[in-house]
Amino acid sequence: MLTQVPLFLSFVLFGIGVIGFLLRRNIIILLMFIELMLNAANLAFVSLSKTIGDMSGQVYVMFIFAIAAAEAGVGLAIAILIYRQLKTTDVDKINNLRG
Amino acid sequence: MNISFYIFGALAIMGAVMLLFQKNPVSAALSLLLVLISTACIYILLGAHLLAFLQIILYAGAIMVLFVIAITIIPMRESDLNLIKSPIAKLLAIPAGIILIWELISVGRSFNLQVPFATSGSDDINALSMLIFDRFALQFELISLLLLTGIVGAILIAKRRL
Repeated sequence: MLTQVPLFLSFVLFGIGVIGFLLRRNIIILLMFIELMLNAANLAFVSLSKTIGDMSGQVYVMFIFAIAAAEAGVGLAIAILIYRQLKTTDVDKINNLRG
Repeated sequence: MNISFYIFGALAIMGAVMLLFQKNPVSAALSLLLVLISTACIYILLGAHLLAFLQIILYAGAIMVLFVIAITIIPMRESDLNLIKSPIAKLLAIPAGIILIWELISVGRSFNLQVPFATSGSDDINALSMLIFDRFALQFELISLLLLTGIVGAILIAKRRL
């Protein structure tokens, strides 16, 4: 059975991830949206690897798992550090660099 | 096969939309969990069984536990969980995302790539491991270095005093 829908699903998930990343302001929720976008990229990798019949796409997905784990660990450590220094998790209030 | 794909796809999109408007951080983490597990089910439908189980163990197991632990140690005020304050960002975020989705789908449509569903059985895991340890051996080692750096960095950043 052939269909184009898995790719479209990954595109829709990625778009929702972008919308959420622009819309929310809690730093932990922002990290969750990054995970959502990585997950959408994984789905695109798997569907394209199936389409062209090459397994290397699935190897890349495993690498993305490792990178997502490292990113979540460091990102959450930074969130904890920001909370300890500034007593907030709101990205609107983190403006020490006057951005 | 087809119907179950649509069911899990709808569940994934539903979880993502719930994540978008969830006020409680633990509920947000559970919505993300719904997305991750539905994606794992779609991997199974596509025939990538190993990746599906890795997704459940690594993403839904390890990374989500990390998120929930962070939510429990960081006390959050109700106001931090609202949408962003800037009205321009609020106005433009959803159109920007919808335009992005539309662009991606029109590009994908023009290539007309047909993804085959697995009718039976799983991928050849032997071939996958041969790829990892043969063609991608250097990248595999670099990933281990990256994980080590991640561990050391996370401890250094979150530690109170060195």
